Amino acid sequence: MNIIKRIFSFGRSYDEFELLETEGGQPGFFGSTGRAHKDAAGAIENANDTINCDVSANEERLKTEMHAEINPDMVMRRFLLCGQIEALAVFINGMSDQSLVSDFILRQGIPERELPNDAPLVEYVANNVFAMAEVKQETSWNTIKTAIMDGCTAVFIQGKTTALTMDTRSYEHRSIQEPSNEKVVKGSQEGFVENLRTNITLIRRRVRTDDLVVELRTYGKEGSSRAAIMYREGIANESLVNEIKRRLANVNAMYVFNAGTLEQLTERNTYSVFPQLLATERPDRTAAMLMEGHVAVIVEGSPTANVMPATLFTLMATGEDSTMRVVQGSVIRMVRYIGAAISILLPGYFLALALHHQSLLSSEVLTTVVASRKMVFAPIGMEMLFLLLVFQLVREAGMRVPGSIGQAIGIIGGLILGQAAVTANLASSVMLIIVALTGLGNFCIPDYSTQLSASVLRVILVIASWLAGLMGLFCGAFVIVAWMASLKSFGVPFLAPHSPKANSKRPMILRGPIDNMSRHKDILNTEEDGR
Amino acid sequence: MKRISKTICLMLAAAFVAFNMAGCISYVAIDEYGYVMTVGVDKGETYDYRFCFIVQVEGASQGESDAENVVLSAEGNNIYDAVAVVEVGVPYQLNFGRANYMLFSKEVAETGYIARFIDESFKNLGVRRSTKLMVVLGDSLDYCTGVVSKDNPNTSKRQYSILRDYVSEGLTPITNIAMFTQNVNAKRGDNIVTLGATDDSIPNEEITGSSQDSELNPNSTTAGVERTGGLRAYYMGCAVFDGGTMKGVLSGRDTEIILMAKGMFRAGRLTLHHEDGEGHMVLLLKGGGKPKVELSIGGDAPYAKMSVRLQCHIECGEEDMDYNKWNREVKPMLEDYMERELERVFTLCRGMNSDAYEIGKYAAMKFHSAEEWEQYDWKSRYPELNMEFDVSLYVENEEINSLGG
Amino acid sequence: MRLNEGKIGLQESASIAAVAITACSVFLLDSEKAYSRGDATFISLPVSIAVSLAMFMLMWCAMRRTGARNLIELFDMCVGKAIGTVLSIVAALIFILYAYRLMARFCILIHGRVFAAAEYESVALWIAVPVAYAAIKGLECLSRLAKIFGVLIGALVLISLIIMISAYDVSRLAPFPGDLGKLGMDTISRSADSVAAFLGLICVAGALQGGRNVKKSALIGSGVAIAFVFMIQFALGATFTYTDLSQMAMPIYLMKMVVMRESYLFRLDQMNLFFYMIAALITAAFYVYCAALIITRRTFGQDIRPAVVGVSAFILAALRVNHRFEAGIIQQSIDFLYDYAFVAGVPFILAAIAGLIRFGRKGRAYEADK
Repeated sequence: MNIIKRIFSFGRSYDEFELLETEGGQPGFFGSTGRAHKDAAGAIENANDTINCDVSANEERLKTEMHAEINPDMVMRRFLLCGQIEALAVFINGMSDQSLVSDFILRQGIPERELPNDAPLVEYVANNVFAMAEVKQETSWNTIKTAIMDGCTAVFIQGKTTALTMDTRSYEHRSIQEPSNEKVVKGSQEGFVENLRTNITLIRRRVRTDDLVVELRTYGKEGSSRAAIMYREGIANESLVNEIKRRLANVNAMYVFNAGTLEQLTERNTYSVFPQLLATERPDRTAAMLMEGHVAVIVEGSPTANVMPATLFTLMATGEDSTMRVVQGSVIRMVRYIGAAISILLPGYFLALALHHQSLLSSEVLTTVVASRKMVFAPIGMEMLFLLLVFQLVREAGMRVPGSIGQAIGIIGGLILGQAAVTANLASSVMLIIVALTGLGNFCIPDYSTQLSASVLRVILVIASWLAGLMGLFCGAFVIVAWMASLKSFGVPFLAPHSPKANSKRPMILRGPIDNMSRHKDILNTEEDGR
Repeated sequence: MKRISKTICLMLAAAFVAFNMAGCISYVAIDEYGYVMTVGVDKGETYDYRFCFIVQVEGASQGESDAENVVLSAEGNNIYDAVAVVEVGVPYQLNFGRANYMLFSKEVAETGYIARFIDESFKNLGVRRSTKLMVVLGDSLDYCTGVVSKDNPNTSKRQYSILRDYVSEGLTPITNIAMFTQNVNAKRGDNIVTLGATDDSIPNEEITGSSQDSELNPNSTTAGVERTGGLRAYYMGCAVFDGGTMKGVLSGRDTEIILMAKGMFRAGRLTLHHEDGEGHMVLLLKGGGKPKVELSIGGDAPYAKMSVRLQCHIECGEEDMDYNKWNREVKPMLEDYMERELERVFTLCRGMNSDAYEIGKYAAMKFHSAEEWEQYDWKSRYPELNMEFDVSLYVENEEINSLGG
Repeated sequence: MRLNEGKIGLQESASIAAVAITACSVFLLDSEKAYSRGDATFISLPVSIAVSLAMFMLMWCAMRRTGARNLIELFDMCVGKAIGTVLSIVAALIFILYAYRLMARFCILIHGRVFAAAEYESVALWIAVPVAYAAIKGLECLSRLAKIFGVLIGALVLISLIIMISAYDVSRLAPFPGDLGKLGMDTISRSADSVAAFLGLICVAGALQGGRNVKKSALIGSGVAIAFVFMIQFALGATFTYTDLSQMAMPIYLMKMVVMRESYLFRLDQMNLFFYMIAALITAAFYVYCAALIITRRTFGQDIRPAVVGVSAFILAALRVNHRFEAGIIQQSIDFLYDYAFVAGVPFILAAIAGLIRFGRKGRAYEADK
């Protein structure tokens, strides 16, 4: 009987969890959030930002707000400052170095000592008691909380509304390694890591000028994310810097933990195929661009720097270009641009000729293409799209599968799968060669986002060529170039300095002599140019 | 909601545009065509004309780059009728975009049909104006079957290679639709068109659609010379036109002379036998650029003097030649000979009312308006034209030329 | 305000002037009328550009004298608001007419030569949509397109002309110079082809950052255009006789077919056709933009996009109607307007003279030049 009941009953087991949809209200018809979801986190309350002069009250408040009873890593240490005054040290275990707290705060603060009557207590303690390199006096409760969450240690003193924060950060992070996506032959092998401080240091080691400014900003709904804006004061255009700061301040997401998300939140044209800033893992490249007058934004937790503004020529350059000789660098650059053009135009061009303009093909090519398609069942346009999709599948699989297996997938996909597809009459060999060349050309593009952009454009042009031959290809290319011509990256036209023409004598595609690089980029309208 | 309706409107507009732009540019895929390499036109038996086509299609074998040639033909009053009949029996559409040659039998060319055919066919069939023209002695169909080869399906390239070699020898001209129609419309000169023929003593290869003669004519030769091997079809000389109508044929030798007069002569060999019958001299002649023509149209009849400059290289025959001998004896003799040849061929062409030397274009330069030129009516004055020729020969042999001969 | 004017530099403005003048002069030439009595277009067309340049200089002087910032202000200051409005409408109609002619020419050519089996309307739509898109994007986009594609197309044209050198024969230009009366008439009537480009430059003078730049752009653009038009027409005349040319819709497309050699390079005429189409699209988009700018300014609009969409839709409708057999009267009317468009230059000249007289020697300099 029990078995029958269990089979036919609709009940569920007691401990089975179910996320109820109605908690936040019904979702809208097109998926927009219902009213109940709006500002679920709520606006930051205009709470009391001052520090209580009673240490116990501060302790209670911290326990409540930071859930100290639930968070086992929150440490609150009461002690007698200089053997006389009640004090409270607060830090997060794991974010702060306990030995620093013990040796340089508690060991210095606990022993009895005479306190002066004429000097302000907090200032005296900050200057004479704690043996830390950086001691700040804070009166804002929220600032202190942020500092604690950041890994600093806060010390509250009985009877004072000013607390002290000291930098005791010491958490585990990845060591500096070679950048995984921007490999070079000549040039630095260092890449950014997830730690903001380390990244800033990597740049400071290269840009040893007194005008390099690093502004730390928090953004996001509860100030949960931190980023550093780096630029050269007096060189970078002030309007550019202000605009970047304004956009960062307008970021309203709950959290942003990587540079890519921040990129999308700060760029103007969300639906643009092209990226509007350069995301780089290389500190040397970032440093070089800072020297020219760009602005860099580094996000805590992301091993990528967002450098803006970025033009097409910036996206097509690599950090290695300036390390090569003029002729070699120029040839490599030309190959890169030719590869990019092949990657975007070749599939559409071939499709246009095969479907609509056969008279443009030589008779030998005609024969080869016709013979290779003898038993292929799919229309030629479908075949092209199918092979482009297979190429993307192989690429994605190779990236997601770890280690040597990922490399093997590229070989398997490229050689064996391709050959098998031809043998099985799923594709023709000529088409396979076209797609292979397209793929090689795609990988010539140094920037990953731009590679993906090229993939999208390629598909658009393939479809346009399928529909209307060379007319579709040319009209599609016209629209794409028009789009690029009208795109701006933080006020700088995307095709600058070619269109519009800038004052710079530096060649765009070819590599100019290295002594041409003594000036800042004209398109950035640096402060030095304006003087 | 505003943003959503704006998005929906944009998507609807994009769908409308895409729907209109898509699918209406109809296409036929590359492997659904049979590519016509050569078109031939003969007089028909049942209908006005018989049209034949050398079509390149995919081969029967599984080879990657395999192709084969098929010769198809059908009769009709115009090419469209013939194409319709042909397409009924083959699993592909005919594509004329790669057609490189148009052949006309002598009978058809003599009726003046070429210009009409070009007018009515080439725009709508997609034939290019660079398609070369040829007149064939005999049947175009026979010629087509004689030019294809099983071993090399690339008929177009092969034809051009042979033609190019002939042209480089100066034995035949190349004319395409653009040049043909220009001369017919402008009336400043007349066309000479590549002439082809078939040597019946050479058997056809087994080609799909070809007509294999069961009995070969053993007395057939290639322009009077017996040969074995090679293709059955060959080139020889040129067909001479008066406007759009063929008037006669000239040998390869005579074609060389015309090309010299037109300034299109590149190189060719000349064999001269000594008058006493002992020995001969072989010269390699090279064109020296466009001839200089002084024309006067005043008076009763137009008069022109043509100065032709040629370079030559004595290849064999005169081992003891030196500069003095060359300058005193050989050069004047050769120049005189060439002038007589030019005169002879000019007379031949004038007899056919063909301004093959294109003196008309020099006549046009004498006028300042189209009305005056058209009123003058050069073709009616052409039969009265008197010409004088002056040939300058320059020898390239080092041993003779060391003193600047 | 969203007029999408922006600011453009000298290279961009000169490029757009050069592309527009060359495209209109070469592609809009009616072969039957131009070549029926001889070929002297390699003289008449460059001279016609010079004639319209002279007209432009007159208007530019008036612009300097009056301190007008654009075409509408120039008309208003020279002849008053009422007549100025009429002249603005005439200018807008000229822009629309030339944009339509360019698009129609390429629709017919592409439909006839390349996509004979397709429907004319779909070809028209493929051409109209990029024009509308580029015009909506604004002047900065158009000028940059002109600079990028202009250089490319110019190089392509030069290469095409150079590889054809062996086929040129100067005797084909005979009889020369043809009917002098017709030559003069052609020069005057064809000057209208380049007037639209000069009017366009004045229309967008605000984006060119000063009257001096307007003049420089016009001079450089017309200089380049004169050189190219001369080379193209001379090459065409040396390749085809006038009897052939009078029967060809776009002889520059057919040039390469004269050559006898079998080479891939000589088969690329269809590719060239589409590059020429790009030049026509840029020019048409520029004219659509200028017409929309005039309409927006005259109607005190804040956004140019509705006017662009309206003008584009109007031209697209005309393209589609043009192809119907009932539209013969429409086509004839458009042909008539096109043949006598140069007459519209007269009121512009008179307006400029009126402005010069009215403002005398004490006129204001163009503000940006102070």
